[in-house]
Amino acid sequence: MTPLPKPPRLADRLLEWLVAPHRLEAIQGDLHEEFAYQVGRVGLRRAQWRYWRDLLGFARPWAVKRLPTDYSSPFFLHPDMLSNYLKIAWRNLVRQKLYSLINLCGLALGLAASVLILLWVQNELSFDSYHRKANTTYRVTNTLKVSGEPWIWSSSPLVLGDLAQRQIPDVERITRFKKPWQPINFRVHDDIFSEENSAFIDSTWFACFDYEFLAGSATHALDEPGSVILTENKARTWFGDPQTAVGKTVLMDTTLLTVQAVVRNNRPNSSFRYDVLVPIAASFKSAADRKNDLDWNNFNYQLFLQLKPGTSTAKIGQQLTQFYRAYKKDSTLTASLLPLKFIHFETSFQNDELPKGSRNTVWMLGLVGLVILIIASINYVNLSTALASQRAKEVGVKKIIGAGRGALFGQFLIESTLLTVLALGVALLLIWLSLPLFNDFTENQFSLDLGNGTLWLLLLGSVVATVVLSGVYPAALLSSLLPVKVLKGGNVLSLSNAKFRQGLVVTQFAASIILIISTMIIFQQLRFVQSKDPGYQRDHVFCLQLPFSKMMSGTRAIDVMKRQLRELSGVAAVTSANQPIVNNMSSHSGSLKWAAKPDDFTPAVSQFSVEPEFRSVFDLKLTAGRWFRRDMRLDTANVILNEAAVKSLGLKAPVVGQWFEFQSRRGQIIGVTQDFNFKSLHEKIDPMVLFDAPGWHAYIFTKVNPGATERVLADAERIWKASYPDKPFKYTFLDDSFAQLYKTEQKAGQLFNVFAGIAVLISCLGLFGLATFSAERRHREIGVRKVLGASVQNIVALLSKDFLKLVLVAIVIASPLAWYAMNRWLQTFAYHVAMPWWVFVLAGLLAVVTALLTISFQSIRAALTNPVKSLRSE
Amino acid sequence: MKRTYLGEFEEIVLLLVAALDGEGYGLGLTHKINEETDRAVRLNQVHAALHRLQEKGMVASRLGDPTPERGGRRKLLFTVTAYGYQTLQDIKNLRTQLWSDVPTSPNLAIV
Repeated sequence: MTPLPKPPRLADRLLEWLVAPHRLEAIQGDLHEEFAYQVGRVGLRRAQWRYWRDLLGFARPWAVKRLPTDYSSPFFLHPDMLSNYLKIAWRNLVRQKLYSLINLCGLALGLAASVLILLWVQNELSFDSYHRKANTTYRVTNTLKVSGEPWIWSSSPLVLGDLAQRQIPDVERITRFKKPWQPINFRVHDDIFSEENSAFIDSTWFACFDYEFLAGSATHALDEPGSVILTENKARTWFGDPQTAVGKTVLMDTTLLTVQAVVRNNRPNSSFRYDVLVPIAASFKSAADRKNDLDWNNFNYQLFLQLKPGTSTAKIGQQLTQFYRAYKKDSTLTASLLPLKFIHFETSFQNDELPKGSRNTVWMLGLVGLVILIIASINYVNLSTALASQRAKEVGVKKIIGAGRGALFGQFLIESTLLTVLALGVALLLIWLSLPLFNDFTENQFSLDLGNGTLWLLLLGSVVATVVLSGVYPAALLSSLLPVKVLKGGNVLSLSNAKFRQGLVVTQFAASIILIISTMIIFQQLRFVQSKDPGYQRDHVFCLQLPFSKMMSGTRAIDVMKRQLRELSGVAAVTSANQPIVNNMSSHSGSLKWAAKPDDFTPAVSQFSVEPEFRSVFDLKLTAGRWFRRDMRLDTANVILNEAAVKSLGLKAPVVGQWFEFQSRRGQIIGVTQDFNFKSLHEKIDPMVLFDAPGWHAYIFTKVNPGATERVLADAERIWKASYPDKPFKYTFLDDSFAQLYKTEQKAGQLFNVFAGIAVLISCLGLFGLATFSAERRHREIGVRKVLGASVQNIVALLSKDFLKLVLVAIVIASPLAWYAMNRWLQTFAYHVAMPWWVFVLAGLLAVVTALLTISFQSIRAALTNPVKSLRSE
Repeated sequence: MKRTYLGEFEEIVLLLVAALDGEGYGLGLTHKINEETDRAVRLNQVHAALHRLQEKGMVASRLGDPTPERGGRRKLLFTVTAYGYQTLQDIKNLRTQLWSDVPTSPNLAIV
């Protein structure tokens, strides 16, 4: 006989939950009987529908209302109950010392790592939003479209702001700042401080942006043109005590400034990292300076507008564009507004020096933080469900006495909360210890300031997330145990639970392996970047940047300095150019002309002004023609192209000898260089025009003989001081500036390294706990096996096999995921390593070996135990 | 005259409980009503009526035998109480008395 069709299971569950227990039997029986009858009459499907309909008819008070009971059952959050929970939780923690320790360490590590990451992520995401008027503040963006891709500038002419203030009624307030071309020198008493982080600001600056004034006031700080405002730290370095700094005077070049106010140090989430603020007026040393800045062609200022609420930004942008049309007589320029809060992540600007972030990095790290928290929570879930049999009797007895499922659920949740809070305490200690390192690494000033609301919110959020992730499943599982089964003895947990636990271990290891693979690939790529031949020699070369003002005064100054440097012993060669060769940002379009140029083709090319000696210093290779020569007078009009330029400009062979016009000078193409990487390897090698125009040069490159570096630098400083006594001597080795190009990647690599380590550590902690548990549970089995003749190897293999299988599955799952993610990352480089397959093998091996080592401690111990010990108790 | 609080539907259910003589239960009564009268009555309505009748003390219940199609659950069987039976009698007498006043061929309105 075929079994009778059953009514829908879900509906039955609903009914059992809905209807009062004392009425359930009659009602459910009737419903089932009716179902059986209707299946015969109208078929299974319609019977199921009717079942649902009939069932919902019982959602009436008379059917739902429960009988009152004779026994009181205290609310599960009653203080007495709470103290009972805590007592039992504490006893359990103390009784299971090893497991508690594993849980505590795992959670503390996970919490510490993720709180640190969250701290950083929160900081990045909240950039500049703390200003009270952040929502109505915008920065003016200028877009110049000459050909092909547009040029986007974050700076505007000084007068544009004045016009906006006067002529656009919807603009409530404007403010501007400019960063000086060079670090400014301040003379305080007899010391000279060269300040990189100084800025010239409008008098409305403090009305637009929020600063906390420690001395002086926001309203009067900028009343005088000869004022200077310092941050707390700067005031301390200059004057010792921030409080006494107000009223003191400093000398900026020749201008006398009075300290009017001291403000709190810049927040880590502020785009404006300036320690010395000086009114714009003080930056004009002469009427000519002022006239220069008032020129419509000089885009020196970042301009911020505060709009009246509800103003359309598009309309303001159009009005600003109209000003360009009317006053600058320029139709290629358009203005638009960028909200203040977006500035941090907007990286398309050509000359924006504000600290930039990358949304990708933020999300990626945020994800890593979450993954670590999940891995740590999995440990708790696994251990507490594995140990469920030890708590089962407690649950059974409590249920018989009358504890409800909800109350038991609450109890176990409170238990995991207790452990999480303990772990948070340890985590705070870890954070406090690692914060200086972390600050150093991220170049931020985070602190464990417990008066900070955001920090509390973060901590609370992490704790809640951890409790939810780690506590809910074990609590639900433990509170669901049936007293009859539990008290009868035997295995309380079903097989599906063990499967679930295995799934979690696989997840943990898969996540760890992905992190390991990512770390390895990042480092492979970084090594590739460092070791790839860029097409020129950069060893033992240091670079000096000439002061901007001196550069303008003609070519003589640079020639003198070069000659002096060349005469030093230990110097192999000296040359100069308009840009550092490591990262040439100068590009140009418009003035290029050549024989076969189509009329509508205005390509953008990188421009590199070099000189005859340049080639020998950097050992550039030519594929055709010759380099510039001192004895060829016409070479100042001639150009050399790189191979990319020959290709993209569509020049026909023979290239050498064709006429070429560049920057209004017509000459010949005298040579073609091999392509060399003059930007980071993220970018393809652009077409480049090399030309010989000494007037452009601002950078001097000195090649030093190996071993002579120290002496040459000392001598070079002496020469520099003699020529520019008021400018500090700053040099960079090309190797260093080359490394600087990949700083973000380097940091991401190191961060990944650390977090991959933490993830592996936490996963291994969990594995160790599980291995201990399984060795303990099977100690009798092991004893019997040994008595029957099993060897130590047999036992170790027996205990390790199950865990190894999980790690292998994790490798299989992790590899394609890691491949996909890292492939996408590698695509951000125009030149990258081929996906190294051995990394996957190595990471897999690493995971297997770590897992084996972790397990082996317990399994070998179990295998070596004398069987008499484990068997005599029976 | 003493009023008995009995709705029309409750009266039918009570009558059927009496008619089935101790063998009436929720589903059986529902089917019976659907067969005898021309209404589409639902299970929960009958259960609700039985619940109200029990509260008024007109029916008493006991548990019957389990059957396989009920998934081994027992029936809740209802029997009419003396008070319930008396109420039914009262209603019937009242009706009979009222009927006796109705002429054999009354004037019928034409609508």
